[in-house]
Amino acid sequence: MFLDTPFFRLTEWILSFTVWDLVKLLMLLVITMYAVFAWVIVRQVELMGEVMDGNINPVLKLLAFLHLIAAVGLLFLALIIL
Amino acid sequence: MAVKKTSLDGNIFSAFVVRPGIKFETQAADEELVLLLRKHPVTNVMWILIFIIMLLAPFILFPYLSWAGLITDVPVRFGLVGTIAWYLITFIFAFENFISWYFNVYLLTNERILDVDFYNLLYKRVSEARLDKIQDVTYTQSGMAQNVFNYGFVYIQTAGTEENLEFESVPNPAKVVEAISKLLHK
Repeated sequence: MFLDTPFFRLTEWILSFTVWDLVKLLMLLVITMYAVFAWVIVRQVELMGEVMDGNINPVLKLLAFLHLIAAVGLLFLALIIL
Repeated sequence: MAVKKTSLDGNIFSAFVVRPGIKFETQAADEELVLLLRKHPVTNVMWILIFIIMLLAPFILFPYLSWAGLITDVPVRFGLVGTIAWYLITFIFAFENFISWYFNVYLLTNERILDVDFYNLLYKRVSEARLDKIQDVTYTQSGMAQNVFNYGFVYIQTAGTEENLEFESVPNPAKVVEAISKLLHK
């Protein structure tokens, strides 16, 4: 009877984790945080660009945006292949 | 104008730009930007070296770990995601350092002096001193690197409640002091 309880099934599920499952969870967590950080960088470059109208501001904004896309892409890649 | 272009002056990427021809956030209509300063490029050497080491690390570290038998059990998919993540971090490390150098500027106009600082990701601080409030301008150059590469600190002391300014590791500090003095005595 105890074997059918949700608590037991959860415990069994957790105990069935391998080392690589834990590594996968950790990597997904870190990459998610990194994607949020990448968005903050985009915002930071926008704010910095407002202070000074430099010639390379559009290039810096583009690089920050491409980095954000790469970070989100990596998150999806990790979700799919890990 | 007080400051003349010399062979030391460069383009917008330089650390010492005479009349850069750009606009800044709080610029008045009749205000002219005379000089734009950044930290001397040599102050970037350390992070550029770290960046190069980070770029090369997977090529050196992975074969070594593989040779030592430490990563033989790592699934390829984890290696792939880890390597991409490593290069993203490497890129952002260099990018952050570059934009920090590029946007932390000291501006000298015909009306005031501004010090634009970005301390962390989303915190900026802009200090300014009007030319008529400036009492004293001095500079220091200490140590081998500062004397060899000709950079140093410029201290601007102001009267009253206005904040004193400090230009950190700017190129040609003597020339900067001279430029400020000329503007003060115009």
